[in-house]
Amino acid sequence: MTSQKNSVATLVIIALVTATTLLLGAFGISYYAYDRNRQLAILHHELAVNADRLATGLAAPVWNYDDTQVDTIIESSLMDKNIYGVVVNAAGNIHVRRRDAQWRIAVGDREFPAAGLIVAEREITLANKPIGTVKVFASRKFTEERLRKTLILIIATILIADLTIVFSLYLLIRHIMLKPLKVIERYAVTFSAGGGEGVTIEGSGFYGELDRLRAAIEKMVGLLDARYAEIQASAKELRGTHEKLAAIVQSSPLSILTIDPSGRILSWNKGAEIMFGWTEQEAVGRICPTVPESGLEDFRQMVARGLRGESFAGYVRHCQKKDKSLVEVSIACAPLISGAGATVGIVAVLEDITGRKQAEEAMKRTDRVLRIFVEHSPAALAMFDRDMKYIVASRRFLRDYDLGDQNIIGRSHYEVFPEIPYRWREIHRRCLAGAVEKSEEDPFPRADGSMDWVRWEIHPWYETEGEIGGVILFSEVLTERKQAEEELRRHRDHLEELVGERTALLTAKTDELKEKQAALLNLVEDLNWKSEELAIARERAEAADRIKSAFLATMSHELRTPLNSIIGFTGILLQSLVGPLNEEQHKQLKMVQDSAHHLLALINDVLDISKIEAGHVEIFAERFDMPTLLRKIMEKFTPLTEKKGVALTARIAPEVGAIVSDRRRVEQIIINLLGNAVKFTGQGEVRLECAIRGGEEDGRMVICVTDTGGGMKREELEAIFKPFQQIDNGITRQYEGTGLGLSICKRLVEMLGGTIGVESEWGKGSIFTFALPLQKE
Amino acid sequence: MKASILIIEDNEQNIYLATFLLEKNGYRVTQARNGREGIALARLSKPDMILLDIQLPVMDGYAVARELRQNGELGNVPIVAVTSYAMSGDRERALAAGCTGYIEKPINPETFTAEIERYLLISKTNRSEEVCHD
Repeated sequence: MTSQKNSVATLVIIALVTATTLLLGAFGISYYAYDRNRQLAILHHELAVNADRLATGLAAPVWNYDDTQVDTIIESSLMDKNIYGVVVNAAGNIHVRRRDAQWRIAVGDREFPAAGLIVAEREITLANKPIGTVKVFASRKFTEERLRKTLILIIATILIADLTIVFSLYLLIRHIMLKPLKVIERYAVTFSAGGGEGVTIEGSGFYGELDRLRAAIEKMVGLLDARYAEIQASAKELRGTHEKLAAIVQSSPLSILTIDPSGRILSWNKGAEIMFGWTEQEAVGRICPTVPESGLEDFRQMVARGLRGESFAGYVRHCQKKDKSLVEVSIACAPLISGAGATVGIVAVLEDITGRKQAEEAMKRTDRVLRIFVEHSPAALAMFDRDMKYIVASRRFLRDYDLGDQNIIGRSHYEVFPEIPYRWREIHRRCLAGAVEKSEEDPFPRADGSMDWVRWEIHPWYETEGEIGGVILFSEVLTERKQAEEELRRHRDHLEELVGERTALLTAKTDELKEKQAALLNLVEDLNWKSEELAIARERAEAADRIKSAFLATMSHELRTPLNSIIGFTGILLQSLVGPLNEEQHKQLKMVQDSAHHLLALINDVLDISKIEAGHVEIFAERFDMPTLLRKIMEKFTPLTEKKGVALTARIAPEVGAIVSDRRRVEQIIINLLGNAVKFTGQGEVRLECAIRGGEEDGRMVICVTDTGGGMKREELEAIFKPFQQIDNGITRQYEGTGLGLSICKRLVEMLGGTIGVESEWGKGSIFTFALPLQKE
Repeated sequence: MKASILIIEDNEQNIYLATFLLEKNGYRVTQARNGREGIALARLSKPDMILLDIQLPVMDGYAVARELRQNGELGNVPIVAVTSYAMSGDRERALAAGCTGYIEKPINPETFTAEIERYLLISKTNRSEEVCHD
């Protein structure tokens, strides 16, 4: 840690000084070592030269025993202060000279130890004969001294160099680094103290990297400034939002509370104050005062759920007010999350729903009142939704249309009245698109074949959003009134006639009376004669009828006999019982067979109709289950419709059950109608519907066969039930048939006490409807 | 061996047709052109079945059936009326006269022999039951 506090300059200087010292040290040491070796070598060389010179110089004196000369020569050699001593052995005569402590030349008498000294020994020769030896001793003392001086010089040099470096570096660093750094430091201090917004770093003396550093710092500070301003702005905005939110919470009519994990109130808004009566001061810090004694456990669980992080709404609870009265509220809760993300309690929003409940009640009541109003309305009223399903209908409506106690609400108008004509369905569609339509007098052909006259008016009704929700139908059945009016008119005419007659009669009086009597007598006679004639005519007619029937029966038989051969042999040939046929023969024979079968069907139908007309058909009434019969017939037709690709559906109302009628004839009628429908429908669907109309006593079973075939034109409809009427000659070839089917159906239906009718629209399809009494008399 | 069948029928083509179909299926066929002849042949050949037209010259089919039923030996022979009388009540009248069954003309050559087979089977079971009763 301390090292981090050291000045950078000190570190740099220490490093440089160390490096310099080491470098110069190494250099000094190596120089010292070199110098020492050199000095020592010089010493040795001089010693050797001295020894040689002495050995040469001494040869003559020694030979001559000139001791004085010897001593003089020896002493002269000691002129060199490096020479410590000389020992000359001249044939046993020893000459010694050595230095004393003060380095003066002293005469020695014997040899001295050579410790710490360098020795050079020479033989003294004369004419190559050894005559003695000389030993020269040299001391290193002065050399060592010189070397010591050199060492001191080196060290001094190093120290001086170090000092120079320290000083100059200090000055340099101080000038180009420390001063700018100080400026930056001062700037940073100023800036962090909160001043210095928009201030730049003053001063010159920024070089290189430092200058770049200064620019970078200035830029960073600029950015920080901007960021700071931004943060301040958003903090201000946040404060604003917070204040707004607080204002909303305060002014909300809802109670908005925050509750800590122990159930104590943290905050309590104005809405809560108004709703429950406690002021904020009274409520905050208390266990939620609105929770009644009995609801504490529930409250705890609610808090616990919120603390687990769950949000929930729609809790309906009773809360108590300050005055102990109860109020019903809907509660929504959510966890209260602190800024740090921890759940620190829950937020509860309470809405007083007492008013809402009352409004719902009132609405239900209005709905009920409206329903009662409609149901008991003295007019025939019905309200439908967009799919023409009943929403409500008045009792009068049910009565007028013989719907008895059937529950028609939710059922389609067209299901309840399959006989509703296309024209009306079209009107319903227009009204559902917004039109208002009415008619003062409109015929309504009923499923049972009767004709009602109705006055009606249809309005669309609107949902609150302005969308059409359906239609309202007002209607009045005029049939009775129309009949009454008709009768009244007849009566009136009759009355006028009567009055006229009376008047005439009165004026003519008695004289005319006689005349009249005579005339009357004549008249009676005439009448008698006429009725006799009539009886004869009737008898003749009946005879003719009988003859016709007998003729037809015989014809039928006579025609069958040759047909037996035709159909029989054709069949045998087609079975290849006689032998194989080629393709063309097979095709042509098939045509013969088809024609023969058609002829047979024709004969059967002619026979049927003639039998009916002749009154030869007997009706065998029995009780049988209609749904079973219908299903059986459906099964029979399914393969054919599947082959044609026509959808075949049956809709049998649940109340349809048994009927007392002639089962075989009913089957014949339905097969005929279905057969026609399938035959004339190229695509689309054929629907068989069965429902009950009327009550127990006068109940009728209504069966409808609806197709999406070609349909018929109005003029064709009138003739459709007459014999040999297959519509439009152009189509006859396309759809083969006898043209007798529908007239047989009509006669059979009538024999069974029922009615048959047809509704059709050219190009769209037809609906054949027949109704049978549930009980055949 | 297949059953022997007597056909009483006046129409030449119809008799030919029925005979053809039956012989093709292995039955032995005898033919009568009117009622009287038919009764005589029935007594003589004792067929296993009689196919009887109703509209016949000399005496009609109902009379033939009644007379055949009165004859002890032929009392149990199945008599099937083959007729073009298709008015309602014709079937009942034929059955009342003693016929076992009723086939409407024109006959369907595809189902005709199957129907004959069925009537033979019914009368055979009936007869065996009667034998048991005796």
